[in-house]
Amino acid sequence: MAAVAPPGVVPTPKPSVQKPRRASAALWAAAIAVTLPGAAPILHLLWTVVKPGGFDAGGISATRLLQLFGSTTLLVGSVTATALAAGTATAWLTSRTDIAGRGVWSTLVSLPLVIPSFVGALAMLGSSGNGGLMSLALSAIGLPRLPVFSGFWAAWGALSLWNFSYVHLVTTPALRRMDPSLEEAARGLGATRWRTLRDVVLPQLRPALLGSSLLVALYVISDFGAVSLLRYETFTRAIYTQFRGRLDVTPALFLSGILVAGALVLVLVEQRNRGKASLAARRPARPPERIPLRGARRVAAYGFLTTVVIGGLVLPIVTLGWWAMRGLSLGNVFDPVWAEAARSTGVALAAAAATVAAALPLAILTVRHPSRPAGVLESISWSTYSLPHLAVGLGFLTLSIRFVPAVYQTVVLLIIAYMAMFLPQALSATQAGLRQVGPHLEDASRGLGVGALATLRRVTVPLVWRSLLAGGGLVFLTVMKELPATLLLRPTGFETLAVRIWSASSELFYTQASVAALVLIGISAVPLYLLVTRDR
Amino acid sequence: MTEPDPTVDAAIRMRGITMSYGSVQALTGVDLDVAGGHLMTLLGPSGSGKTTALRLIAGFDRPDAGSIELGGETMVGPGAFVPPDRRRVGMVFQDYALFPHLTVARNVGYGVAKRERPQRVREILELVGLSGKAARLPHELSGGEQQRVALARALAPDPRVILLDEPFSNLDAALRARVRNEVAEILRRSGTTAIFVTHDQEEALSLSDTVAVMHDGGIVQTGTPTEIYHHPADRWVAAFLGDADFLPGRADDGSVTTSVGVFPSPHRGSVTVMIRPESVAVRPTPDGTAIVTRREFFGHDQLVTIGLPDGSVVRARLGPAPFLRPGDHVDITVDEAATFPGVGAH
Repeated sequence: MAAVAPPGVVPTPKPSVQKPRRASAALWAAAIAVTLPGAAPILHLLWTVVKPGGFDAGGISATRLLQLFGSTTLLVGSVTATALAAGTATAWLTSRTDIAGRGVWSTLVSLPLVIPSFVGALAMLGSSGNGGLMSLALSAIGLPRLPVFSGFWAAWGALSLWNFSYVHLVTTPALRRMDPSLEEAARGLGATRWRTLRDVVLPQLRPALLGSSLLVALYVISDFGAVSLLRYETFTRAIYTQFRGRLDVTPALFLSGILVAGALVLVLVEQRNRGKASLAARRPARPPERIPLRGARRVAAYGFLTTVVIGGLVLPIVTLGWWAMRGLSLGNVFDPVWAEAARSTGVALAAAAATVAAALPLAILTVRHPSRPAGVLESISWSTYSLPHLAVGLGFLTLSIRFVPAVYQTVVLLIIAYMAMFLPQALSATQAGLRQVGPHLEDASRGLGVGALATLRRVTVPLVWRSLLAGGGLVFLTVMKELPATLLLRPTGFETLAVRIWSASSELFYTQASVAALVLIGISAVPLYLLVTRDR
Repeated sequence: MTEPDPTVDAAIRMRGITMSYGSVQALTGVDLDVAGGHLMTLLGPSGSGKTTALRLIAGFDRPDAGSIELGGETMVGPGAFVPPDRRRVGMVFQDYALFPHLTVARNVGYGVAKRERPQRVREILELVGLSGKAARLPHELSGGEQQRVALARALAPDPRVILLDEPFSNLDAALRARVRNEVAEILRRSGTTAIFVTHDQEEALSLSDTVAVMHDGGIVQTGTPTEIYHHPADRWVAAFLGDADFLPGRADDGSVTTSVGVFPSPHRGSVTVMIRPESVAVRPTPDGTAIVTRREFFGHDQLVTIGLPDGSVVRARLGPAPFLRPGDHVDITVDEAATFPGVGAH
């Protein structure tokens, strides 16, 4: 997942003004065809849990299930709460107070997103323990070394640190778009600052807060790399262990099915709360008032922002750089990971192109011809997107072995899986673009004697080109960072940067892992920079 | 002038068109004929189905039932539906819908075959007086110019008919009257059949050869502007087209007697008499039986409300001159009135 708003904060179109029109059969066929690959693995997984005539747990005991459920819930709850608090705080500080350099701070606290959580976990490992960077720094000034970061606290810290930026990114526009006259009206009616916050500000922020906390919760449920490296047992880690350890995939499939069912509950909650989003969709006539911070509060504000930027951005990059340099100076054979970088970039570009192309018919269907069935197709793709990649990957893996062995362990399957998983990123960008292009333009083109496909080529695509690029950029970023599905579905020997980082850090080759991680961050930074500056 | 010439096929013919969006009935059996070369207005309040009718003619929507012919060819009928790009219908949208990524010339040439494009674009831009702006992008033009580009683009592929959807509503009042006359002039010169949709009575009456008044998804009256203004089909049309007062009366032998005079009436028995304020002349006189109750002054004219001895009320639209105050005694005479059968509630 990447820096895109989940459905909970995407304002749904109100079809009342533009009357919905019937879509052509070809459009329906295309939209269904691109949604199908996402639906298949989910249905397959749910099917393995609730088979007709029985319930095949594959030898997983109820106690074990309860244990995993408990540990996963604990992590999801604690990380979501922490990220929500931290992200709302940074958003508020950078958009509603008078601290200096608000724009710079806002960018800086978004930047931890360039660091995938498993790379963050690698950096945490590389800074703690006997040979870690922070341990060495502490012992240089006579303090005890840090123990190796592992277990619940490490996983909580890593996932909070590399997820709070989602909350920041979703909440900031909501705070900025808030109409100050509503708050002034409340104050003018005699409400205190506190009552105004509770009765006027928070209800307006509700969709953003709810949407972003669900985003974080889903991310934590899906996280595989960070919890594995930091040795905290959750569903995803247990699934992978089961899958790797045995010939029989039934227990892994069963656990995935349970995990998918759990995540689907969250997805449904999220989609139920969609309608409220339109509350924050207007643009106010003037920016809201900025609250002056003085004295200790101002110091605390700078202190907090500095801490999260150092923890989420500076420390990991310094640690990775230090490991890379140290290995090289010790004479380790320098492995330039060019081949991995080329593979990652190539497959991410191909996946981005395929996903954007697939999103176009679905976007046209949902924006130009809104209907209940079209909404169902959209929800299916969002559901696949929200589910743990490890589980979806396992679904693709077993489906392909059983029904299409020709694509098993091929790049084709990998790209189809990426397309199915990340379709909504391209979809929401394309939808946003289409909504800005009035449907009259397409009608005008048809009225001037130009057919539907030629209209798409001559009018629609040129006008939504930037949105298509933005959607493609998001997919590119996400694919670059994707680990679990890539691990399961890649052809043998097909090492991407993410796979390389994973395998090297599991074997404690920190230098090798750090070089690959720095290259990954470097490549991701380019499209991320373009995406972030585009939104300004 | 307004009767469709029987020797020429109606350029547009709609029969029994019904259309609904979900549970909302947008059109309820519309029949419409527009003669070749005529300028027809669909006039009605918002929600009366005017835009729906246009979109059906253009082919952007599909009716639930009924048929549409353009120049004698069936566009919509049982089992037939010609898509919009094969209808040769030019549409001018309320928001103009100019392609923002294309220059004026490329917008205008969009629907023209490549071979004829340069020549045709030049001709049409000349027709609408925008030859100098061919290389501009739409956002660099004024509202009136954008309007003319939209018209030029619709005219360029030589369409069978031109449809204009509230084309002047985005222009400010000062510009509107001028652009309206320009557009009407361009349409007449190009000899194209045109339908245009508006909710503005003045616009409809001043611009078109024929006006079709729409109400609640149906056409309630079709006629020349003069006909429908002075002889509305019913009380709703009368009130929609302009200020009107209604007096009850009894008619026999082809005339009706009311408190303001005797008028010819084709109907017998209980009738309603409609009086336009313009038809009322007022003469201030101390022994007048009518009394001024209210005066609204607009500068170029004034609207005076007058109470009659029998308790009924009429309004008179007068020039700015006679200065009347509430309480003044006046005599009134009414030049013209229309009658409807029955006594409708106001």
